[in-house]
Amino acid sequence: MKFIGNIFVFIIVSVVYWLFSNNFSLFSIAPNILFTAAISLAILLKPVTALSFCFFWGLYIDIMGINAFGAYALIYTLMCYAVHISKKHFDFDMPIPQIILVFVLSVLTFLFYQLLSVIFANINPLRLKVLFIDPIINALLMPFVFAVFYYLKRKSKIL
Amino acid sequence: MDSLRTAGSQKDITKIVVAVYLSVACFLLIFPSSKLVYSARVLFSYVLYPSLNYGSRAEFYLRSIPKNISNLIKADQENRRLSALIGDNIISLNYAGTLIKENERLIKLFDLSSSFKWDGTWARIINKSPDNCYSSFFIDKGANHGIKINSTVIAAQGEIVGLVGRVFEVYNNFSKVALITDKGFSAVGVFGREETESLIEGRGAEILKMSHIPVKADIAKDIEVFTSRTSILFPHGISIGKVSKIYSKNMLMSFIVADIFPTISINAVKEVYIIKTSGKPLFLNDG
Repeated sequence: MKFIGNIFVFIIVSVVYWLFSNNFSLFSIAPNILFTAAISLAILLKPVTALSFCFFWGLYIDIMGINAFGAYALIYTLMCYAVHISKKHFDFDMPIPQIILVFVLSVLTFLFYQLLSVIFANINPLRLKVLFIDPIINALLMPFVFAVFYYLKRKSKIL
Repeated sequence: MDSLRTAGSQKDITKIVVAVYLSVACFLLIFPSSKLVYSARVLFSYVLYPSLNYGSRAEFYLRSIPKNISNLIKADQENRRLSALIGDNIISLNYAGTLIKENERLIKLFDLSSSFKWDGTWARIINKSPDNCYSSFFIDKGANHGIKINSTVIAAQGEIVGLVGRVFEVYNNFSKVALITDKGFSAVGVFGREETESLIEGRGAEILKMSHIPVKADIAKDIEVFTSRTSILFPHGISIGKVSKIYSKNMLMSFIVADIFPTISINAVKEVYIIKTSGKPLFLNDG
């Protein structure tokens, strides 16, 4: 039952991410639902399930893009593992730590992706506005997305 | 003790999963898979929704994929464009065929009109009312082309020439022709060696009525009826039609009645020949 629920959540979040990135972007910037969902699940779920979610969402973003295939799969897997390790030391159930976590991870993810692009794709698609605005949007979005997944995990027991 | 062991094995599984996922991700990064994945994605989207890749967006979509894949998609687009072009050409070819046939028909008509003993001009029928097709039609020549009211209108079908009607109304660039099949039409017709005269009338249908035929007239089925030399409107000797049925001679009646099948099938006429008149009024009233 949980496995089907996981697949359902995976598909729904992927579709919502695609809809947001295609239809609700302002100056090529849209809230990264997938990123915040991945961190939420990394906080809430057991590590193996959370890692699977993050790896396949990363792969999904790689398919949607055209540069350095596998980069996001690598980044999201590392990010999930980092959250898994750090959640023993921090209480990520509260909004403020979540905001800080997402902000920091957004910046790190962006920089790491640029680095991988330079190494493997020989291009540097550096966009400053994304560097500065994306982490803020993602950080502000995080508590809401976390609340949704908290509800799915703790209240409705879907995950 | 058991819970500690479970936690330890959970940690090991997590490490294995992390290692596997990271290895796969690194392999995908190192292996030149980006172009393959992007090619597959473009092909997939092209198969699902080809029109998305048309127009100015095509170059954008094809910018990062290998040459052979882009050539494949471009070939398909070219194929679709050429198929549409072939379809258009077939339509044009059919249209050209009808034009050639029409041209041949008009050449024959033109050759035929050179043997006419009357001067005149050809005109094309531009309007026919389906509910009134045996009454009148409009032609594309009018006063500006020298058409005058009451001019005789004839037509040819193959080598056969026959009466169609007369010009009824004349406008600057078009005219209305009253047909011999119209209910109000009447003319004097002659038949036989003795040129026996009779009255030809329209019935609003394909068949004409011939009346006032003398009882002793030498009339028979299929005998041809022509316009009379005593007719005010029509030149002498134009074929009107052939007798198709003679109604039995009733001794109480002083005349015979017959049906006439017109020489020219009105429904098949496309062009008509307007015979030039002298231009003088039909009834002079010098006062």
